[in-house]
Amino acid sequence: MTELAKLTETTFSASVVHDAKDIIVRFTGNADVTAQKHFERLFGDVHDQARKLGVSRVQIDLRELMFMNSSCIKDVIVWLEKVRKTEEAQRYLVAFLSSRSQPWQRRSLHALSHFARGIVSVEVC
Amino acid sequence: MPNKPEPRSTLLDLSFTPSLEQVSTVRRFLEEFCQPVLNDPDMVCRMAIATHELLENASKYSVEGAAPSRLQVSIHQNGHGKELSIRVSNVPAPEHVGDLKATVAGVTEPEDAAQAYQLHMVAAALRGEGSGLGLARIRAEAEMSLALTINEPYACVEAVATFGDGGES
Repeated sequence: MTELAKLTETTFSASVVHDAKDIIVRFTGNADVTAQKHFERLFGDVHDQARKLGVSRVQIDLRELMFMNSSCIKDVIVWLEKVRKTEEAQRYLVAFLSSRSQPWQRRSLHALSHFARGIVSVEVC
Repeated sequence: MPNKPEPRSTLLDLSFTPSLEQVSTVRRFLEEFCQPVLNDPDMVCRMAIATHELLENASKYSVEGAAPSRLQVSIHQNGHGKELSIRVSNVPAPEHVGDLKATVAGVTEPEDAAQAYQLHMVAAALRGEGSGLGLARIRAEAEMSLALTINEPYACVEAVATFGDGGES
């Protein structure tokens, strides 16, 4: 497992690792105005790394994320749109790991999985 | 004789100086504060989504140094169950009032909230500044109705959810 990136703020942290065929992005805390400063770049870097490393899947682990605001959701949407437009040979799947104890995740991920149908899957833990 | 509507029970009435950095703090406080009253984690989550998005909008678009913004949370019983109301009032910068009216109209007019939210998502992917998603998210994800009242210089956006005996709105 190789660490690709790590971000730590007072109320938010993110880590990005490469593990075999996956890139795994783990978020903790609150994805609000503080996190949003990093989101666009983080997802841009994940997209570049995913293509460079030839992974088949990017996992986004939200289980420890308490909330995501609409500005951060927009950055996720922009990223998913990039994935959708990526040529098939370099395209990868996106798997969200969510928690039953965070009901907002079911609601937000339902909308995102409709937006990027065929690319996004949601696993509830 | 028609039923007399039950009075609103105010859970919280808070005046505050809008600050984007404090929005999550207020949302978390409200989640804890309302949990024993709502006694429904999913309803608390819907309230949290609406509160967060409304407070962020108030923080982004208020006139600096104007009167404090106000957050009011109330609940009342009607014939179909309970209604939870989140009202956020602020003094918006005049140049944002037209945008606010247009955004609320664009979010509330479509009959299908989920379909409208998908269209807002497509638009968000093409936008430069801002997401334009906050109010559409309240309607679709939090399943709450929205209403805007302008009483110059104040603008008040109210999000309402029906829950309890009558089911979700």
